[in-house]
Amino acid sequence: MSLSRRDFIKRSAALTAASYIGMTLPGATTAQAAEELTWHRGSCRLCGVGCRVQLGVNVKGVAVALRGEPKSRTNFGYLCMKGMMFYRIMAHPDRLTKPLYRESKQQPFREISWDEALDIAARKFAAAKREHGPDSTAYYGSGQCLTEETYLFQKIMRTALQTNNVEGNPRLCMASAVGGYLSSFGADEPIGSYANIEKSSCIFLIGSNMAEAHPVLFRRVMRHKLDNRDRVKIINADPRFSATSRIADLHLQFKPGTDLALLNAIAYTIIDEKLFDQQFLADYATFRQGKAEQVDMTAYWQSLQDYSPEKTAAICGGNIDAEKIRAAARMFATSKGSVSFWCMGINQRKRGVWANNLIHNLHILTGQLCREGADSFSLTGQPNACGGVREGGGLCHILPGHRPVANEKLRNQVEDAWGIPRGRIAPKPGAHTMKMFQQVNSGAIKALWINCTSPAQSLPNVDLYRQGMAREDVFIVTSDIFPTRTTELSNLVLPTAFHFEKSGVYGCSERRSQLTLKAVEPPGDARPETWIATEWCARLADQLQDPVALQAVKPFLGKEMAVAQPQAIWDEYTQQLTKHRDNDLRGATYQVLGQMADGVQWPAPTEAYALTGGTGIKFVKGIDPLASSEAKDDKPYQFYGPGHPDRKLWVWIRPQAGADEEPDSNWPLYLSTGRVIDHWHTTSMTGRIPELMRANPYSFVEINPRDARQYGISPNDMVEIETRRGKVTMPAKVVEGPIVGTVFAYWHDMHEDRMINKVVKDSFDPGSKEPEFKICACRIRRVSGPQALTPFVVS
Amino acid sequence: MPIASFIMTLDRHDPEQIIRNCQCDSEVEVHGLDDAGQAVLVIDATSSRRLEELATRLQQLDGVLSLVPVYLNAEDEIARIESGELRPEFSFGRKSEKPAPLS
Amino acid sequence: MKQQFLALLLLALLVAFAACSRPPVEPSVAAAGHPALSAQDMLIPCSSCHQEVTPGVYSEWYASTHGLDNVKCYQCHGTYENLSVTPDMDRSCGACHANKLGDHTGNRLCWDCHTPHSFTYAE
Repeated sequence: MSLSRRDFIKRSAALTAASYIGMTLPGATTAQAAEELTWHRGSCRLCGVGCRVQLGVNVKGVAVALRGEPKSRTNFGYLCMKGMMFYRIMAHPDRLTKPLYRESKQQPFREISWDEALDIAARKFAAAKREHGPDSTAYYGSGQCLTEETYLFQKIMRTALQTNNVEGNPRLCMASAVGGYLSSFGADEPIGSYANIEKSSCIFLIGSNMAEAHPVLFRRVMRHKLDNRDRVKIINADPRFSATSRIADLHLQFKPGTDLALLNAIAYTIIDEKLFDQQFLADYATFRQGKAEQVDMTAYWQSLQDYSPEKTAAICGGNIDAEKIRAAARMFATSKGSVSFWCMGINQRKRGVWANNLIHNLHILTGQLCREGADSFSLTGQPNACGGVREGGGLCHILPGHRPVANEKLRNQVEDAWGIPRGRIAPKPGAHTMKMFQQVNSGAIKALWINCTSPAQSLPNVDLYRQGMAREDVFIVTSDIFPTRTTELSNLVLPTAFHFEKSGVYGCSERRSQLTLKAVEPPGDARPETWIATEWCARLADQLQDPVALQAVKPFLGKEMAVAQPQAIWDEYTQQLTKHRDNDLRGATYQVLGQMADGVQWPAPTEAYALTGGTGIKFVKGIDPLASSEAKDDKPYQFYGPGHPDRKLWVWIRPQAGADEEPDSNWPLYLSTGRVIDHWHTTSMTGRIPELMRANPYSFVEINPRDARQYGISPNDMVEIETRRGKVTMPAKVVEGPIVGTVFAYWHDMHEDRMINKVVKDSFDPGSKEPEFKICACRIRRVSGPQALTPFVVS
Repeated sequence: MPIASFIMTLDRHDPEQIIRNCQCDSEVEVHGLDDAGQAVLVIDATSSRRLEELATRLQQLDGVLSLVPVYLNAEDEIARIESGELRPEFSFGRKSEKPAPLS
Repeated sequence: MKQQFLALLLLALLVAFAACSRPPVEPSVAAAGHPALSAQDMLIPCSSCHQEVTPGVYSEWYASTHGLDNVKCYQCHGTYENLSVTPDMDRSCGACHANKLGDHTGNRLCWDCHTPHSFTYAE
């Protein structure tokens, strides 16, 4: 029987009343009334934890509710506030619903049709390639794109435009972690899983405010600690006392930029007190220095002599003394299982790769790896930085399936899989993110496609790069769901479908790929990126009169865009390009992923295996299928990763290295930046949810009470932060958070007065090319007392 | 066009008669009555004002001890308010200052 | 009179919503008895005022697992326009603890057993 909507509401109303007084009404049951919503399973749109959610869609096809997926092994049904509310932007009136175009960036936008928009984009990119060469074109994507989208865009750039200028915002957040994993373990991405949290006895949190940036994962850490108060020890190392520090047994507060010394000092103590695992080292490790020159353990020990706890305490300052360092080393080394977690505090450093190496060193030395409760785990900021960008070939130096582009054999594998002539993919890596935007500045890049991210707010020293993006001779396409600081500098703005308005896979921090199917229609003319890219490439091939260019999208052209098209892309990627690679995803088909509440962890070579959930711990025979199939001896662990031909873990000699810009008499304070729980990145989404905007309406600068007293600053006073690059002004929070001599600003705000990335330094790690967002030198002054401010998003 | 449900507590003397009195208005539906003299009513009114009138009338009927609202769905009205077509008559005592625009 | 009726209706709904499956209308802040706020006041986190005006509630929350994990006031109680003193169980608790509604609660409310704001796990 079908009910009209009014009848249905009446029925619900009556049943609700009846349930209060225990009355049974004839006809429908209460359960039927509650089924007003259809629940669609998918991943959360924000952060890298990979929480699974259920989106409640009403009979009109509108998303009206959201709840956690209790069967998910990432979040067990729990959600954070951002996650609980992200769906509410789907119907926001600011959504981009029509393609917008302007010839000159001085002109206002006008609405155009998709036909016109795609023609313009094709013409401009083809012209740039013809007139200025392939490397005058570039793609700048996002760790929030679906894997299908990243994979398809990089395929088009490499096949049709023949450039490796493929980058994305993950360069800004996890490139150093990639460098760390490859150089220490020979393989990217964590060995273990979140499940190690509940099995650990010691958790080492460094350079991460997990409580705000990854709250649902932090819940697991907190729960484990509260349930085992005496047995489980938490060490939190950070120059800032944050919400995360509240559960710590030991808080190591060090001067910004002295983290490498601290990590070396912990290693020193582990060796000095003979807390290392001799057998593990003998079986699985070698020692390296410089560019991977092999040395012995004596040389390593020798290198640590500058980092005795006493010497290091003097370097680190803060609350650190020799005994605290020793206590941390003992907790870590002697626990039954130690897990380390870190995030941007380690990665966004001038020597972020080294800092990663030094954390891995602690795990290799003590054998705290490859077993339950022990792991060295880099948290990821975005939902698909791992799955899409790291695995799908979304960076200038890598092809899909963790293949370095410079390797001819691996390049040929990709060319064969794509059915294009060998030699078609350029052998030289493209421009990494900072170089790409330098080339925008110089005018070397003429056509740039920015997808699902806002570099005009998120790049360090952003004003410098906004100048380049504003150039009239640089054609910029931006595909996104809302107006941003970046759409302000674009010629062509393409409205895209949001999460749950299209289908595709996100791969979270723990190597877990999870499918989200379309549940809601996108508003207006917004379209999935895979459709946009496919149609664009077809026109591009036409413009270039190049049949090989068309090959990039030929298998996907004309397919139904909601599911069939992304599925065909996913199938090509997984079946052709992850085969026999360490991220083997052949078993994780849409059919399998659709059945799983929480997806599949790679390697997962077969469907039958994928249906078990995949590989919880890599490299372990009996757990990881590749550890058996790739085994070269009878040891239980097989480090088969592509990076280390000796199949060993490498303990690195890495010296202390401070920030690129240290304070001096003119610029006496450290400036650090970070996140708050209520916002996500540039606030283009969370800034449009009143609850979240209210909770943190604008950026604040946190100032230690001692510094505040020295500068005559009271709570909520307006404070100017000045660096060599410029000034911003925001209200002060006077709080025992940042260490004395450091101010800490929230980076989300897109208001011109408060956009902190205008003053952050754009130096970067020479290995990973990841910028040092976390530290630069500044000075502050009180501008005025509290002022009434208005929350702001670009509209 | 709001829809609301109520729990009505009746004098046990002659509940059926009271129910018949309730149903004089076509907008009022009675969905059930139990032995304890409690009834489930649903009102499907043309406006909030009409809903209020009906509820007031029901409360004043002889034999009605209490009328407790339980559920209200006013999605049509809310949609009209959101679109600017309808200006609600009521205010909940916010200061006259308008909330800060989010842009 | 009209205002009164609506306010009363909504007040009644406020209480009723605690167990109602999916409230179609959010009760208002005035109905919840919250003092009026200026636009600037609305931009202050709930907890910074409530630390002073309801210090007991604040410290219970701050020391609880919700407090440790930054589950802030508005996650259960909503923000100014949709404030509810008694949260809707389905929308607030249910978002994270969906599997605990239903069989686990029976007809009871979450806070019948778990003390509001401190919400001890073991209760």
